[in-house]
Amino acid sequence: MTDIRNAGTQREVLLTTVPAATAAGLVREVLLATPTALIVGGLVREVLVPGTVTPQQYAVSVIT
Amino acid sequence: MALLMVDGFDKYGGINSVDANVVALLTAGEWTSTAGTAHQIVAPLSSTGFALTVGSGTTITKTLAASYARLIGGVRFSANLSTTTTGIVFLDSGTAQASIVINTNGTIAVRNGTLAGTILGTSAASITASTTHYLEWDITFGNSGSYQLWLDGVSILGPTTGDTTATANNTANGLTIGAVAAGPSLTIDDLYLFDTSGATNNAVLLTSPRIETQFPSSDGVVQFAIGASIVGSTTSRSATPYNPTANTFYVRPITPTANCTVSAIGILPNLTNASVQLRPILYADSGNTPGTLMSAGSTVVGMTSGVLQTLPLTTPQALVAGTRYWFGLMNDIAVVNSYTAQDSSAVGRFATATFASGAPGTAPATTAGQITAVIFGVVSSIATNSYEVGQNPPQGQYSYVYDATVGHEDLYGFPALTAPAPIIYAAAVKGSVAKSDAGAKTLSLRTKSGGTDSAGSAASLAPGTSYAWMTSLFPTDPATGAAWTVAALNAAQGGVKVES
Repeated sequence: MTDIRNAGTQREVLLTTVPAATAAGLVREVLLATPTALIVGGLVREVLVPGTVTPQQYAVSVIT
Repeated sequence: MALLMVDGFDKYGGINSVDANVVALLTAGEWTSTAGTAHQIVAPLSSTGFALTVGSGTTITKTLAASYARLIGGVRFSANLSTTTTGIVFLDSGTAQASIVINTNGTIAVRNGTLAGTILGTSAASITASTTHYLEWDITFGNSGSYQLWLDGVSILGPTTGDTTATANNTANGLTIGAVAAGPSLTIDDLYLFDTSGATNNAVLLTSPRIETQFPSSDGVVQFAIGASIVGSTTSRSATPYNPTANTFYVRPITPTANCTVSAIGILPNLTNASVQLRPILYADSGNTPGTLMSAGSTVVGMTSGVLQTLPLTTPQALVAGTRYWFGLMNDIAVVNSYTAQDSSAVGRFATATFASGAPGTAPATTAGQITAVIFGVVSSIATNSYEVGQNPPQGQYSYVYDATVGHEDLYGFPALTAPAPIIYAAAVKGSVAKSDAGAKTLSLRTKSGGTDSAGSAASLAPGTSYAWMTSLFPTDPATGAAWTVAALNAAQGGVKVES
């Protein structure tokens, strides 16, 4: 004979859910010192020397 | 220091009739400001380089490093004598103290204040229009100041006294050269400026001097890294653009001066068009015309006026120094006057080729005489640093060397002077320099003569983040402390050093 006195009684059980860590991506960001660079786009040497062009003779006029 | 400045007007690129571009070159560190719209780089008045023409209502102004009680200087010039408001103005914080005026009859006067100020004295000698002469001056500023002028080495006015000030100060700290009113034109070359301090360069030279501008021709000891290299030029020096119609095949020749590898072709658009399709093309030469396709690139869509645009080649190509190549591009739709002109040489070639068909394996028959567009090659594998810094004018981000390490130095060799010089008055090393960001960075511009490596007149210079010319002066040979000899100068190296 089956005891059916407690038949249909519900039992609710509170379970804990263990959180899972997920990782879809990972980076490492590094703060670096970027040295300031000197940039040289052009360089010349200008040399001051006596002229090689014979000056044109200028006219002399009398201002009156 | 007696030598204040020299400018041979040779480092602003070739013949250039585009005022805005000439102004940009002049004011990149060398000249403080300009006025007017008629600045041109023209053929030299002396034996080398170029000269500057300031036309109607156009001037250049330089603010000096300090105020000076006496200024001595000279300039080679040619004037068309069309009005009396052409000449040189000496400034005290922007106010004219005294002026040298080239009169319409060819005489030359000294005036108080501006070019239209009270006449202090006028020469008896005169010049004729559009002839080349060398004018020198020695002016002491004061209510009882003094002045003297020389033309082609001969005294033409003074020495005499006069009121050479218009402010309360007996000094000047700037000069303006040009043509203030409409009409006149003045071409200048070989400018020097002294004061009277120091043991050398403290009196007029009276030898109609010239300034020879030398560009680096070889590497000495180099430590800087190469940042970018170019063949051709990014600079537009002619105002008339090329006008590509639909399905234009356009090429122009470039002959590299160093072996290199080209990876992209650049262009300077003259207008903005968001939908035009462009394709870079590179052809080998075949009897002075484009021959076999070397490489092309993927389609690039759109162009922006005034913004340099690079179009990558699919396969970078090795180029040989001294060999002509044809650089160009194809476009699909007409883009009116859209390729800025490099100069007036008209060595471009044109054909019609359907853009959608791709780059022809062999160039089609082309029509010569097309405007030479600003088209250049972005290159690498150039072995010498002197190449990057030897471009005229400097090409900024497209051609440079760089270094961040304190103490690192680049030294370059220069060609020999082009003519015998019985005396060398001074040398100036000038660098078009910038720093990569707002952080602190200083440099020196160097001359190494014998075993002596000197910073010259400027031990530490602080550049900004935009390229600008900076200067160090070497009035004497740093190895001897005496005047330069030709042999010593020809052997000396010049360069740049990271100071901090």
